[in-house]
Amino acid sequence: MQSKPSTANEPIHVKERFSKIYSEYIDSIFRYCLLKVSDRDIAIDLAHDVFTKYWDSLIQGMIVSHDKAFLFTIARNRIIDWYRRKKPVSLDALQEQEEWSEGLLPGSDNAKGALEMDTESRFLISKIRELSATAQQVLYLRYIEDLKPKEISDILHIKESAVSVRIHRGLNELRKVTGYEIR
Amino acid sequence: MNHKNIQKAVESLRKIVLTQQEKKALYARLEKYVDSHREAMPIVSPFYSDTVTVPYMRMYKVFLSCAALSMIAIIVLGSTTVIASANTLPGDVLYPVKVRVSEPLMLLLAMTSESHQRIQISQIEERLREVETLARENRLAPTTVAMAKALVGDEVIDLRDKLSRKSWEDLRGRLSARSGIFEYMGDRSFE
Repeated sequence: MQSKPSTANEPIHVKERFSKIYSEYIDSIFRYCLLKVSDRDIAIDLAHDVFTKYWDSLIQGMIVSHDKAFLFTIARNRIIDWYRRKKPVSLDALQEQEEWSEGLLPGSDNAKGALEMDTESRFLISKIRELSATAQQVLYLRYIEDLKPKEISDILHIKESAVSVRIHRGLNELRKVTGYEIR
Repeated sequence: MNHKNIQKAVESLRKIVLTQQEKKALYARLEKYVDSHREAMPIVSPFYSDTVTVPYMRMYKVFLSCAALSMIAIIVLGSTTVIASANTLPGDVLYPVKVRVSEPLMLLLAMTSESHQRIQISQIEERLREVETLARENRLAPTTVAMAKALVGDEVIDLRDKLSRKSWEDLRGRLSARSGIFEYMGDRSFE
């Protein structure tokens, strides 16, 4: 996502835009945070932080070309910060081990407000949780949040081609663990 | 992911949303933040990082780049032309560059009167060498002779007033060696 300064940012227009973006993406951001931290209240606080940071960026005069990808980038960084504060280990180690992606999908016992799902969905979710953190991450962003590979590459700070490769490998992994014919 | 069970799971996950009440409560919190931070709109520095460049700074950068490129082009083309004109003869395309640009420039850059005179003498000799070369090649036109006479005559008269007696005699000796071409040109200014 390309962030550029705007020439003139009338606060009133910025607020209108902020309100529109909030209505459009609050559920996605909340869901992403909830699946990462497995705690509804914490997820709401993180979503709040994401949108305050987004507001700060807008009033600083940035033009965000892909709002959704930008919001997910902020959310990802906020979640990393949250894990960093929570666990006394280095951020590098966290990123290397991708521990911060724990609780990516619901089903963990500590997830307040867990969803009611049918047996098949629950089985599938449990299988998805068996995938590598990298595969879970890209498959989630691609198929649940409907983000394009370019937007995912902006969020994860990797090349678009690497995103496509990860999606492809993720689907292969999913095929293996579920036995489903996925095209 | 087109498997029906997967589609079902995706739909289930997409149902994870905030309730309307939670959304309103969260927006109310955000609105407080927004209202308390809307006045403090910072002025973006023109020296902000590359990723966040103010438009006029970008224009300024483009202008600077164009100016720098133009300067480089002028210097490269200019110096190439001057160098290429060094061995030209009257009638060549670049000959005017030699007599009107590079030679006057060399005179201007002379630091002392002695070096100025030395350059003048070398330029007189260069004119004579050119006439000799053209005469050898049967390319000597009357206009060329007239031009060389005018240039050499002016320089020699100018030097005669400036040079010491010894230097003047020295110059005369060197020019006498080319008396043939002087006679051909009908010029007696060095005598």
